[in-house]
Amino acid sequence: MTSKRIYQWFIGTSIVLFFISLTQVDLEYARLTTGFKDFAEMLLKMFPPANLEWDRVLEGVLESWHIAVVGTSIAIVISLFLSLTAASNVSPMKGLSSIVKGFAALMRVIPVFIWALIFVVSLGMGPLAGIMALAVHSLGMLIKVYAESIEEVKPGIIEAMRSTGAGWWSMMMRGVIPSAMTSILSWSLFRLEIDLRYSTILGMVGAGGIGLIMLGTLRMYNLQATLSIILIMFAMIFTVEFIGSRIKARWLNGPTKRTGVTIG
Amino acid sequence: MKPILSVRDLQKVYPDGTKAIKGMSFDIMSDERVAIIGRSGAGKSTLLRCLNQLIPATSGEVTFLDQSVTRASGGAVRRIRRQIGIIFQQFHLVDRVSVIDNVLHGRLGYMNALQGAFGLYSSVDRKRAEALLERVGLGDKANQRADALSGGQQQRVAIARACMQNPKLMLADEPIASLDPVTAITIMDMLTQLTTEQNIPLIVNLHQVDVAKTYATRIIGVRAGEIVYDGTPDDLTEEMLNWIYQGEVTQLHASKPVLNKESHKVVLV
Amino acid sequence: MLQLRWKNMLVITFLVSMVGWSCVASEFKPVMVITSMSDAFAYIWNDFLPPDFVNWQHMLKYLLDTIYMCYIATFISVVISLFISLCASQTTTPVKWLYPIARGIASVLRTIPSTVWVLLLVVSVGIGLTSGVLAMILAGVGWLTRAFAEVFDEMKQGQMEALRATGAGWVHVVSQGILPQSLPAILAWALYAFDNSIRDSTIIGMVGGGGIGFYLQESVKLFQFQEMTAGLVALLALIIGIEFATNMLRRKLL
Repeated sequence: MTSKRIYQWFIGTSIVLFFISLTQVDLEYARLTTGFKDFAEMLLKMFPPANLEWDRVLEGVLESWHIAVVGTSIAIVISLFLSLTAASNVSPMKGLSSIVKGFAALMRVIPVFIWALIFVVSLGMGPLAGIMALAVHSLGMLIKVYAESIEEVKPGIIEAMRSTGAGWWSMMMRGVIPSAMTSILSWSLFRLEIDLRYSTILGMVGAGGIGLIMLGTLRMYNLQATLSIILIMFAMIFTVEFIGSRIKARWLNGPTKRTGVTIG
Repeated sequence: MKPILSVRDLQKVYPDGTKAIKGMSFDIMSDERVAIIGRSGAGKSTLLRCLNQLIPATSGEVTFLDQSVTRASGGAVRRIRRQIGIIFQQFHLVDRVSVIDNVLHGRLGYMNALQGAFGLYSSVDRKRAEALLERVGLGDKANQRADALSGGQQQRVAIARACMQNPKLMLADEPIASLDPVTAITIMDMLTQLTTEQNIPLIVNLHQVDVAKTYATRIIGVRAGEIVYDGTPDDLTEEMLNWIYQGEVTQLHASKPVLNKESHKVVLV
Repeated sequence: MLQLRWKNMLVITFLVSMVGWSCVASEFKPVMVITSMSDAFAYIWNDFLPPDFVNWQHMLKYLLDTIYMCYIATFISVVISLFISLCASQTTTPVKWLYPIARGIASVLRTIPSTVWVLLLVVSVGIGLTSGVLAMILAGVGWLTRAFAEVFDEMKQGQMEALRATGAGWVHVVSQGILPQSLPAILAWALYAFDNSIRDSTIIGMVGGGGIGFYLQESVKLFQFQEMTAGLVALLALIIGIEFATNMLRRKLL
């Protein structure tokens, strides 16, 4: 088959599947038209943004920020240690590497909101659930990328350190981690950026922060206040993205593989 | 006089079945400078790495200062390694760390995990590292990052790092193969002087026969994992060289070094 | 060098005090990592395990809903994004003033999290997958537009000009030149968008947008934790399966 035929076939199948899908789910088309009208009306009612209890909102913003910072920090500390056991070139025991990597994969594949749900159920509503959800989910990713950075350390450096008779801890702290530091730093920063974004919305499942406050205003149908909070969230995420890209452009050659992470 | 290092019937077979070393035996005395010559792939690098168990030997015995290297494990290996300095072709410094810290790495084998991990070197060690840097002519570069140095300078740092270990034996694996001829001479001079001063033997893998003849007191010729020559540089005949290299003699000054006026580097014409 | 050391120290002090402040403000103590982990994992062990598949038919319906939702949403967002992104790239925009407008729309849609869209839609359209699909479309259009626009940006100006030089109009240039050229990249992004929407569907469902996320949230509300675990296992299988499938298709297509 020529490549053109493959594309034609692929697009054709996609369109057919689309119509099949439409028949399979009960989309409420009637609701869709009226709903859109309602939606538009509601959006209009949200203007102008107002009615805010500023001190509570500020508290929420800060809480989101704290959740992200603490969650990411925990993940960084734990991952730094575990990635040393996960990196196949320096792992102190055979087999340990794949066990740790498997554990990381499991932590990573479970969506962060499921973690939030589990921690809200087991620890109660509030920032602690958010912190733990972010920490657990982040360490799944950080162990993987740290280990990859460590595996890229030149084998000669490790050999030279070994030849001085240095012990495992000395080798890791004096040779391996410094060599992988740039890449470890930029991944950590990248992760902090993701976690800051997550922390604004984790509240919507009860895990504290600004999201929880927005849930409250919306439940009370306080639309103008809701819009204000949305604008604040918008500003928060926008700022984080802006600062993040600036830092990366200026100081670090940021992670190249940026796929696989967008946010709900 | 007892030998510092003694190798008996050493063999190394890699997991893929390659026989890198097929039974080598020799003794090294404290006043010897040994050059090991041979083609690439003859087993020179493997041999050197078996001497301090960077690569475990398959069979045979290596004895260093009355301790068995081949049978040592865990802490014993580390105690042996810290007494054997080794210089590599690609220097293998930790690029992102300062020059002085790289020299201090030579002390890690003598420190416990906590001291080593946090780099808590004693002031005696620090003074000594500074002195050694001064000795290799890099006293002013102590606080620069290692990757800011040229190849020759990095190799000098690597020599200082090895000396920092207070070695009883110095190994060098193709120490000048990545350097230009002029720098190569200074590195070889430095290695010779430092080992003579401390009265320790030097074993160096070399590719260039003329360098080997100039600096070594004894030459070991290796061909396909076996020792085919072991004697003085003067007795090394042209036929023997041909046999070792199978007609591929490489010489440092086979071509004439000339100073390139634009780049200020010596090039071979 | 000494200056550099000082700078490092300053940065480190700043970072440590930031983390310290965050810990104090959120009343978090490092020991809580261990206590809350053990609490949570004890909870998981006692209440969430083993998974209970007794309601599997019910679960399967939600799972299938998720796939259909994501497929429909991805399909529609790709189509809409194609149009907007043509305006959002300087190489392809038909009229200059459309460019900033298209960019603006895309970045607003992209920066507002899809959960916010769901919450708003749930209030006006009602709980269920209709809201979920709409929210997914809004969020999807946001980032796909940007991705597509970047694809168009990378196209060589020369080819466009050559086509224009033949006197072809904008529609012809786009349909004959630009789209066929960038098709592989566009399809790759579309596959990735589908992949991503499956992951996204969890949270969208949890805040009222239908699909497997809704099932998980409902099970938790009804204290049917073991059924939730069953749903989670199914969801993970779905995520991994879809990722595998899209990866395979991508390799086939590119």
